Amino acid sequence: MSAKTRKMILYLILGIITVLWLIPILFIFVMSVTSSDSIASVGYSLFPKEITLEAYTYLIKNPAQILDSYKISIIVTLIGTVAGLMITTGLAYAMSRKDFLASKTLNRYVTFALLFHGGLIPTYIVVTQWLHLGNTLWVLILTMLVSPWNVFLMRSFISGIPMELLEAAFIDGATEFQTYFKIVLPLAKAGLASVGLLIMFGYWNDWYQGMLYIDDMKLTPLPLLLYKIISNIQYVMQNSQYMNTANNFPTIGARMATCVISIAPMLVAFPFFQKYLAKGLTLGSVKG
Amino acid sequence: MKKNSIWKDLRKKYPLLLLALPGIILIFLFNYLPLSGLVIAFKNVDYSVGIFKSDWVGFKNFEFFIKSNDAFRITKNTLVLNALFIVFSTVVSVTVAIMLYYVGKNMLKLTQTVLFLPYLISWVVASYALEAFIDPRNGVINHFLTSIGGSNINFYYEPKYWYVILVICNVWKVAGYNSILYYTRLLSIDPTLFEAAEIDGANTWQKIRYITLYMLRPMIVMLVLLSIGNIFYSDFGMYFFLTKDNGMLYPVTDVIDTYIFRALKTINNPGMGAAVGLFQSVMGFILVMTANKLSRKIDEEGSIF
Repeated sequence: MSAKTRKMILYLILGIITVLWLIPILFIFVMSVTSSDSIASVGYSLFPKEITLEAYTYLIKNPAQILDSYKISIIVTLIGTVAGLMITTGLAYAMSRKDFLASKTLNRYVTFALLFHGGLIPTYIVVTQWLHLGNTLWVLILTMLVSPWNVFLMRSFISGIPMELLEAAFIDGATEFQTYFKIVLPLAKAGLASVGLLIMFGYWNDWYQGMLYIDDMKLTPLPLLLYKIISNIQYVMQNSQYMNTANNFPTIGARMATCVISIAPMLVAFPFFQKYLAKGLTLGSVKG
Repeated sequence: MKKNSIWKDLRKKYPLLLLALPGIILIFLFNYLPLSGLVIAFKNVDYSVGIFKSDWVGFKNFEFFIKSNDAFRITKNTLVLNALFIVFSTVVSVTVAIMLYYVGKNMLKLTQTVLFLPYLISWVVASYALEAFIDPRNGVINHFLTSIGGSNINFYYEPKYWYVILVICNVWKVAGYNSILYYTRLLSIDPTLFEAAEIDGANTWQKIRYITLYMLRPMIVMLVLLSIGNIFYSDFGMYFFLTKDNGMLYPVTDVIDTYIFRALKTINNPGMGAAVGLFQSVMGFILVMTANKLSRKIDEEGSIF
């Protein structure tokens, strides 16, 4: 086998893998525009008999719950990402400063939190019984604000900044804060981007905190809404905003359309920040 | 003397402490405070009097769990499924990484982007996609089966298919970004190694075996050890959404995390749930420490933390 044929075969295999990986996502998109009749006759298919935008028209006409959920998801993601990134970076910086004598203790403090968890139920009790955060917007933000894992990831980025730079700044009379904001943060840009993205995905895709702590439909973030729809189609029917059209409600299409509008922002933005994400994952895996 | 200097240092560099403080407080609230809640593993929880005033029951919660049929089932499912995930996703992601490396830059961008996509998608959405394939009436598989004259399979009632389904879904979700990790590592190979091997008459397979795989080995070992350290934990969303939390499938899809969730939300037995959680945390802790020690032994640089 010549080198050229070998390469062709590799291209072919990689091509097939790529298509296989893409198909499930394509299904969601295609099913969101498939008519109910088409599903009844040929089932779920990537090549539907009839294409319709009915599902999207429904969503646009009856947007109350979806807009509420979108709003919640956006608020939580924005606040969570900005605050989470600031707090994570501050802690990571203090941990990375070897000349700071308390940094060893800080490292141990965060390492133990990474390694030993109280588990779901004790956390649930702390959040609901002691901090009284159940059914508030805060619970969606606070519980995920700082993850020990992200702190270590951020620390490994910051550790890459040469200490000499900081020392030079101190000799020039810069204060700790000036050094942090004017030297450390600009140099840690790649780290801020990677960790920020991880935090952002975490918030945007989170249904878990909502499922545990939120009953109020007004506070339901988008991914949780998706779950609530799938778990109980009845729920959609009962929800007043859909009532007037409940008779010919295009259930499957509408569900898929909701999926599409939930993942679309991420898919659109993804190519722009892909390289940061890859970098973050690499660093994170090499040294936690 | 030494203690003194720590305080002096703290006073001098108090801005560092200020920067770290919000993080310290949050980790205290959501990571350390729950540890005190672990006492409920030894209590009969009565919310009306609060958990600290609830009655002590010693190891009753643990006994109850161990004597139930559930203990064996959920431990077995957790360990077996995670072991399958580790094996399959490692094999697939290493293979894909090596292929990407040999193909060069042409297809890289496209393949990488696509393989990465599942990472961005939550299990809720993934469960909708899975439904397109295995739905009993309209799913692709059943449509195909009826079209060739076979009979429908209701996957949501048949436990025997689920190990396979879950492994496929897991590979789809995680193999992509793992392969990117491995690929990035491969980029650091010195190309002259291959040239030297060629001069010595090595064929492609030998090059893959003795250079590429050899270079990847420390990273494979580390990622696998890391996964083994987490083998008592499961990706809750995966089991909950893909199976639609269907009781018929529990014999093969119920894992420790889904069990604890039900103890809290459905059967309302937080004491027993916390006991199971404590068992999970302790086992997890022991395994992570062992894994870290092992990886340090294998490779000085490779310790996980």
